[in-house]
Amino acid sequence: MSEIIGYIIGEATTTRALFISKTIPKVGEYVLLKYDNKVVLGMVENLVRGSISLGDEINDTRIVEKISKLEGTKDHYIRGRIRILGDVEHLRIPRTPPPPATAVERASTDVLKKIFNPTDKGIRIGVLISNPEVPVYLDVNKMVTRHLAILAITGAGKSNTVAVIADGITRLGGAVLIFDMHSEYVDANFTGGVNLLLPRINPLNLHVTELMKLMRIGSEAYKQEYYFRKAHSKVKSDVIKNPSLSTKVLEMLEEELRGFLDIEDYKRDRHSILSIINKLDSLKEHYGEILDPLAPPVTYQLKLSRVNVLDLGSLDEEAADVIVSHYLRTILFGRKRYKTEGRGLNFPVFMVLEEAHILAPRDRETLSKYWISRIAREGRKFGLGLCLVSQRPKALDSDTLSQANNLIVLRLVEPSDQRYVQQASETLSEDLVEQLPALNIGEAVILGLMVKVPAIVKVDLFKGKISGGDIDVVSEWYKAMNREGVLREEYEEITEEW
Amino acid sequence: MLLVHVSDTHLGYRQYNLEEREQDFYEAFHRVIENAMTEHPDLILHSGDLFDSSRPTPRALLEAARIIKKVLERGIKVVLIPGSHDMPKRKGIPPHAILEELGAIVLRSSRPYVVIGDVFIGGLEYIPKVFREVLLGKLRELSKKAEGYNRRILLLHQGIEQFLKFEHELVLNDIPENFHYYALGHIHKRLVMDYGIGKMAYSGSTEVFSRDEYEDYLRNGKGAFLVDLSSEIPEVQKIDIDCIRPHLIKEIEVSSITEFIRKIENIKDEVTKLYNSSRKKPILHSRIIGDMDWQQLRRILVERLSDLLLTVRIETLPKEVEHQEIRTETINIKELMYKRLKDKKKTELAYTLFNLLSCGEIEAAHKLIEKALEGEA
Repeated sequence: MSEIIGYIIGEATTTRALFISKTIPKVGEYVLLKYDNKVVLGMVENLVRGSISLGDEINDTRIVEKISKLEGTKDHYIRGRIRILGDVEHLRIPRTPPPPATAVERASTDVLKKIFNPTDKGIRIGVLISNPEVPVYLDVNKMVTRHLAILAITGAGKSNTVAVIADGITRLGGAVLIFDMHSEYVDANFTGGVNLLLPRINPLNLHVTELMKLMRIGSEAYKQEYYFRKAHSKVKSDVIKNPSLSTKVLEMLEEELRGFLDIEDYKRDRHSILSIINKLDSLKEHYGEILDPLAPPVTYQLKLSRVNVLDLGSLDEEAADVIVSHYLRTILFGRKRYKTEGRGLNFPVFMVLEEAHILAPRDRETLSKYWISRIAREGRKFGLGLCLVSQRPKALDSDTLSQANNLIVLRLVEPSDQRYVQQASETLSEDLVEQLPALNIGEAVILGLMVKVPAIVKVDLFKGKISGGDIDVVSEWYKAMNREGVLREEYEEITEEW
Repeated sequence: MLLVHVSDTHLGYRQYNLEEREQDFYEAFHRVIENAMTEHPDLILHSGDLFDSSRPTPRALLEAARIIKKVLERGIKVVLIPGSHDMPKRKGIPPHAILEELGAIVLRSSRPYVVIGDVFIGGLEYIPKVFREVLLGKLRELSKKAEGYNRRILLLHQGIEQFLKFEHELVLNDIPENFHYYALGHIHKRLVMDYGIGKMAYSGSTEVFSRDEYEDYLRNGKGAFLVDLSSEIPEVQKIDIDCIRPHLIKEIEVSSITEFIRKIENIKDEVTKLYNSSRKKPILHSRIIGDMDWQQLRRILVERLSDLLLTVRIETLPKEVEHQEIRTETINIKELMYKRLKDKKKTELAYTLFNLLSCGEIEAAHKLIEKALEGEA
């Protein structure tokens, strides 16, 4: 039943072995090596095809034609390297390297199915490219507790991958929260449906630093910060004493600040105080819609078995940063409180951060970055998982990225991006990196504890529509051209009587 | 050919729900047509919003029918288009259908042009912005139809972006350029300009429909346009009417009752003058600014003026805090120092120190102080 495709040659280690082959396998294909009473699984990492007589010093096509005629393909060879992944039973790396001349067998579908479909706590992500009969399942427990990063260039299938994972989690009854930066998932057709969250925050629940960020009170404006904090804590304590005031927080802040203007000691800082009042004014103007005193706390809005989508599409980056950081903070503390006091957020959440390089950039500080890295570090204990999605991995904060133990890398062309990802994650080998630009749309290298062994996978196509795909430009033009005709018919119907 | 272009008569509009105001609009229309007829035109064009509503009251219909009939009996042709106010919003027949029965010509999508003598007259009902593409298509078709005729006129009731920033359906370029006269309606201010091979004109409303038109009325008058098509480029003249009800727009700043009364008495004089010249009671738009008892002010105003006015609109505003901007370059530092120190020598020293320290010359400042102290001793 097993098909021998080649033999081990040269010097092998416990993790790598060279082989020559008679038939041509595919990169990413799984093979079995049987030695020392073990059956060991390996993956073809790299392949070379060559010919002894047709060396690379030949510079005349006629010679090639002559040699080919005489020799045919007899002296062609296929060499490759196998990465040893572990024994089939436990996937433990064997203590001994394979001896030379060990037969290299193609791993059968049955063996692979056993490996990739280990538990019932998994979600199907796709099938192996090298063997489409083998479905690949992700271990959700490992995915959530060890975090995930989905990296790819635009249009390679990030949104689809997110959708497949989100859908899978809700099928298990879990909770996903997507921070939807471009309103892509808002009307997607998930199995459990979408629980649409609008970016509304009760200003009372905003941390003073979050408010300051929205107001653009920079850290260098220490006087403004001083007065604002003073006013804020006063208002906050007033509201705690008299909860019926809670809908008037912004007005109270303004009143408090105006009151400062009359205090003799503060007269010299009149400019700073006026400046905050102006900023408070422009806060109301810009973010009046977000700051809703009637908005319920985040933790009350999240729902199980649904894809919770926070629509950030209409916000600018600063506002998105504030909202995301507020959500992350509230959710983290909600889980902590649940663990310690038994009230708070009573279920784990998997949080998908779209455009992670904007929220947690490498070269500047954002409010979200702090909470992302905290959840990356502490989330494991509280059942909070992060999924960082980015098309510009090298702009992403490396500490945060390295916390993501699971990786789904789709097509990634830029060498600097590839290197960056490789540095951030030990599991991605040089040879796999080389595969990245060659991947087609929807094909991904999947690494990490959630899959046990690395796999190159064709990701399933999500069946409910998501709007992230490219628009059909030509047909949009066509539609616009026909618009006059359509409208005309409609108009004639109105005016037909006369 | 001589024609009269009139528009936006809004028959049936009852401003402030006043009988007199409804009457004002009828009167304006009567007068403009009477004045026009003395010019013996061949044709009267109306560019929409003849009525204020697509379902006018019988009174408004009767007024319109009487005038149109009179014009037609004189052998003058009448061409109309329905406008944004009198075109039904959904399915339905506009009131103009009745005037058509009397012999007027109503242009619209299903009958977009008429030829009178050698003059092509194209026109469309008001078409809302959602159907912009439809409107553009119809304009293209009209432009093509008009080819080959000696003189070409286009009637439209639309807002054009260049004149109406926010609620327009067209930009200037959308309008075909091969017409000699563009008789436009919808914008209530009077406007004439060169366009394409001829003239484009909004003849404006015939009465003051909203307060902000009043200023334009004072500057440009109200009424119709008389258009002479016989010259290469049409000649456009105003036909003015003098029956427009006067408005008075006043901002009254007050800090005391006696001041307020004095100001009201001044306004009274103005109101009387306006009444004497127009024989119509004016409408007063007053804006009172000040931190006073509004009720009392209102009472005073109404008591003293109401007999002379048709109506008064009162807007009250609290006194605004005044901001005074001081330009830094106008501050004379030396003078300020002198005011404080009241000593020429000390001022000189302080000013020099100020200058030295503002550019960080600490050592020089030190020396200066030491020297000054020595001098003192």
